[in-house]
Amino acid sequence: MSTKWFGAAIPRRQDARLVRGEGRFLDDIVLPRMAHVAFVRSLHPNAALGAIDAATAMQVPGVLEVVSHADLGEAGRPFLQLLPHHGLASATWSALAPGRVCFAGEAIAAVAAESFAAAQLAAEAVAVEYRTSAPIIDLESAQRPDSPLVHPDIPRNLAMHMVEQCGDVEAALRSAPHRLKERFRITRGGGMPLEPRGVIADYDLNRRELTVWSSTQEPHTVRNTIATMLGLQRHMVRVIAPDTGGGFGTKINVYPEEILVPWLAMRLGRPVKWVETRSEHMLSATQEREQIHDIEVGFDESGRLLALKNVFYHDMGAYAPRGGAVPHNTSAALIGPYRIPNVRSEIAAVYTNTATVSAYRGAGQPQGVFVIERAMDRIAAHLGRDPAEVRRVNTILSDAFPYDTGLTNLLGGAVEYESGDFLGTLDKALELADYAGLRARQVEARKAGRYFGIGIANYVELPGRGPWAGGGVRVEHDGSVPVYTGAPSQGQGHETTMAQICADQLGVSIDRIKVLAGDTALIAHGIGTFASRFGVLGGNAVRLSALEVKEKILRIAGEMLETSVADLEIEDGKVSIVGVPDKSLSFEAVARKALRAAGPDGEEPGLEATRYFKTSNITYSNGTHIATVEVEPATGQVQVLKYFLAHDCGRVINPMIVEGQIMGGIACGIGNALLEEHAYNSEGQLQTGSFMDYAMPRAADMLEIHMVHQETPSTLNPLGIKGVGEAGTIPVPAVICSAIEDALRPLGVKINEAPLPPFRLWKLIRAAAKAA
Amino acid sequence: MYEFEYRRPASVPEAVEMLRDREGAKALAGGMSLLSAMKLRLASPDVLVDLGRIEGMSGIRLEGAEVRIGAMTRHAQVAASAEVGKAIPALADLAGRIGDRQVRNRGTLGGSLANSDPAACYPAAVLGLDARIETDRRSIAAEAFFIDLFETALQSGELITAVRFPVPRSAAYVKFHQPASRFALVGVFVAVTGSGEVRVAVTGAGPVVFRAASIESALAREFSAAAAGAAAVSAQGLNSDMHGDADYRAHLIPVLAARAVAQILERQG
Amino acid sequence: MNVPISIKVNGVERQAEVEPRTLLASLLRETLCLTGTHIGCDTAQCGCCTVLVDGDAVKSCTMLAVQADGCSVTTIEGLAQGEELHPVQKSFHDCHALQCGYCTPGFIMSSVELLEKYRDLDEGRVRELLEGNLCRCTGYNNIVQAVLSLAAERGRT
Repeated sequence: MSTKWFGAAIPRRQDARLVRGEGRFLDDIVLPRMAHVAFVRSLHPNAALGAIDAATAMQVPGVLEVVSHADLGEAGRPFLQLLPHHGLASATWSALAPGRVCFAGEAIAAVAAESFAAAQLAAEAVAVEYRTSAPIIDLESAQRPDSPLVHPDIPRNLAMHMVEQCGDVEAALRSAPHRLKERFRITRGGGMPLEPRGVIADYDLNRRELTVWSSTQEPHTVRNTIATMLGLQRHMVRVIAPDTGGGFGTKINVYPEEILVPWLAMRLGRPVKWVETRSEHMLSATQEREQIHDIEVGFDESGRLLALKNVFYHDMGAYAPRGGAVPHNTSAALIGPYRIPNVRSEIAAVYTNTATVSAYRGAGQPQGVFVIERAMDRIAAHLGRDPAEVRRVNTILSDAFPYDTGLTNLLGGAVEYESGDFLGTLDKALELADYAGLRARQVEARKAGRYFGIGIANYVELPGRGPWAGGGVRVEHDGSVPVYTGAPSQGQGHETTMAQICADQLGVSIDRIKVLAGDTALIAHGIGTFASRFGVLGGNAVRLSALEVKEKILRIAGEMLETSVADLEIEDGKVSIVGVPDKSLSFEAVARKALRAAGPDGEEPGLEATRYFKTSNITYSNGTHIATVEVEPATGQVQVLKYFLAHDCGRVINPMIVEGQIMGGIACGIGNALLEEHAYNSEGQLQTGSFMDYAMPRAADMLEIHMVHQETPSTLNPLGIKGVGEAGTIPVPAVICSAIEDALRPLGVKINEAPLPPFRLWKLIRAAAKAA
Repeated sequence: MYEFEYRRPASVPEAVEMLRDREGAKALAGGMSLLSAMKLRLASPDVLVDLGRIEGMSGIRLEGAEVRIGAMTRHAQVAASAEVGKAIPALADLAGRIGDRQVRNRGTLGGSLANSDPAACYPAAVLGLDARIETDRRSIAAEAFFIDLFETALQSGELITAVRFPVPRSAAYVKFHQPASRFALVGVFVAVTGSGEVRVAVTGAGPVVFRAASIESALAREFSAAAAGAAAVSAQGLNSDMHGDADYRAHLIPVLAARAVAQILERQG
Repeated sequence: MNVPISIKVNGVERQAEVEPRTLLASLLRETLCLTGTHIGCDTAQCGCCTVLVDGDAVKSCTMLAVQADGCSVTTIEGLAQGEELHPVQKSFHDCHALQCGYCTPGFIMSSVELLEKYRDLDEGRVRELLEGNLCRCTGYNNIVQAVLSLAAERGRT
């Protein structure tokens, strides 16, 4: 196969409409007779619900319906548990709160009206009787026997307790020449796509067909859930993800509103629309990252890790729509690129009366990387060795692949790195950054009384998660090539990358290809776009389909040209006999022939294939990030000065898009490191209800990024792709905090937490000064 | 937002009458704070009196030793004004760093002062420069204007028409951003007035803009960054929130004052 | 009580009767079906709704439609001349300055004003001047590049 398109920085094809403002996002869709929905959301984090009085609300002009859980019947039952881990104490949400609320912001009732303004006014007029209980907000005390309960039937709020181990940690710790114990903490943030969530549903009573538009990363899962919850056959439900303004994990779950809005459309017999406000998003969309880790490491004189013991608390928030996926990822990411013979990782995941926690870009991995990388820095400091060298002595060598870490992944298989050159990225990043030069600069800066620090962090990303993804390819009689998949893009660029793969595999110009995605009518099955998976799995599915179509083209062309398939070649949408370029057939001619159903041996009509690429595994990308910072102790302000990275995501489909993913990921990571935090007070009220208090990274928070690519093909798929969507984000809190601690070493400040907005860092600096 | 009635007066007297006319009437200037509050349903005036079309309410004039700025002058105009840039560069600089570019294109001086947001920038300049606030009926000294959180000396229906800023010998404003809103977590305006008085006005730190007496007296003794930085400021009564407690704010005041003084001295060369 | 207004939108005079509480963004999106102007927050922070009113970049979610009465408004739909993209639109495409495309119209409109009103732009200044727009996908660097490359081009001519 020639790779004319794969690997090239092809400009994005979807830009043409987006830069003109001609994208079609959910809120842009208007249907005739459309009703609008506003929700009544709980004011309290932990309460039993009494009477819900809608009498006044019904008087508001334009109001069509006010519904609460009691009206929903079967549609009001709790959702099915996705990813039900062994031992998970399951708690899933319902379309409306069933008699009690578990966080402030949970939907209690819904108002449908002729306009959103009327719905909103009426929602305020719904009187809800609450019998409040004390909430449990603090992650650590949630397990105590006297803690308030989020779900009365789940003792000690314990959602999941899981232990992963390999080797004998206790023995290895006992005999280790050096040991260190630390506690690390990461708080909550949100995915914060700039387009809030939204749902539109339209039910055709005559055909009994339900069409739903949702700003989702998983249209097929939404379809399946709607069918189950509303008692419809799957093929009668069509879910479309239109242009979607960012996802970042926030839009992977099937949310209560995605059931309630279709239910209302069926009940009212007219289209219904709900578009979330940002304030509503802050309260009720999923969040992530809150964990507390107690770790102990044992190591030798060279800094080589002998044992890693980690017990961590993970905050589930109110519900577990995707089971224990996030903390499990943390555990799997803990090892990173390091050889650690004895590992014990214990997870205690607890429910709290806060917004539900689910995956956000990185999904548990930034926390795992934070923990191991902070430990590396502490080991280096303890031994007085260079932090890069301590990382080097622990790094898995290139001849060790496939490398079994001894832990298990989310799918139940081993966390086994299929291929890699981990020292390669470390060396490339150190060289790119001129690490020795940076250390020399630091000496100068310290002499001048400046707090200049260098941070370093390695990571192994867990992208490309199975079990499968699908992609179809068709060659039309006019020579155009639609490629269709179930997984929508929220900015990742599938319209371009899938076309690149198809163009090469099929032997046709990319200009003929149109990628269609995000509609359950296009393809029967789909899982969705998350966990940096679709490039890997969807790309390989498109490859399979393209190859199947290509084979058929060759068979039919062979018949037409009266020659053996082995003598044919395809280039630029033409089939020709090798060595006789003027004797060729266009794809159009072959497609027309195929449509006349006159292929050889009774071949079926058309040139089309829909294949699924399946895997029981996960691919593993990796990389090394280095950052320099300067800290202003008087204010706690951190300025990130330079950023360097070397990364390896296997074979690169489109370097421009890969670099874009990484840069965007770094911005999310800088948010996690320095700015973004969802804070609840002890009464369970969110303190960060808008962008006035939730600090998003802006243009001035970012800086020039220098990066190099390393390509170690994955051995788990024929295209050798590994996935890259979360790589930019995963190591950033670790690398920035590493740099801050390094900068403040003269002051003896230890960084055990993220994020570090100025106020928090200033407090640490002040505490260190008092202690000194 | 809730429904309201919209009025568009052509003159100040007409506006004042409309505001007096109805109890729930509120003046709409740039709308950056008011419309945001209305959208979040935190404010619900019955009548909005839009000052946007009143002739003569905006504009910048140098009048002797004063810069007179009309109440409806937008932050972007103040920031870009050659007169302000020459006479009181610190004021142009302050205006150029309020909110963001789009906000500066709409937000107005009068709107900001009438709102008296504890984290707004302009109050620091008004108090720091000892400006006078002109209304449809009187002239109010800065000291007397800012009363408390979102509370000013303005009577019901009273409209700010302009602000007179005395030209100082020198001044500088240093702002430490609240990381999310970009308002001032703490902002310190240091001015040496025409008569040589040192004034230090602080916004963001307390419920309302105030003068930092300890820094002023330290600077009166010795006008240096070190003197400002060494002055102690009490945390008593200062704001506390997730972005900074009272101690942090109290600590930042002399730190930022020292930077402002350093800027002044640097400019004087 | 509805208020009659007259606004020139993308060069075309438009009349409408609006409720006073109608935001300029809603007028554009719902009444005039110009859905390229997006809404991303409710506190005038994200800038997705940025349009030009008499040449000034403003957040149309925090301006009443009645306040724009008699004004000339340019939205993202008004930039391209038929098939030909506006230089800022083209630069965003060329520099891969967009991913999901939701913040893009606001960023482009904001950048149009920035390039119109400011000279002597360097990277730091552009980053500062773009503080009124949030992007979650790109990490901003390519957006900054898209603006700087046009500023550099202007410097050459």
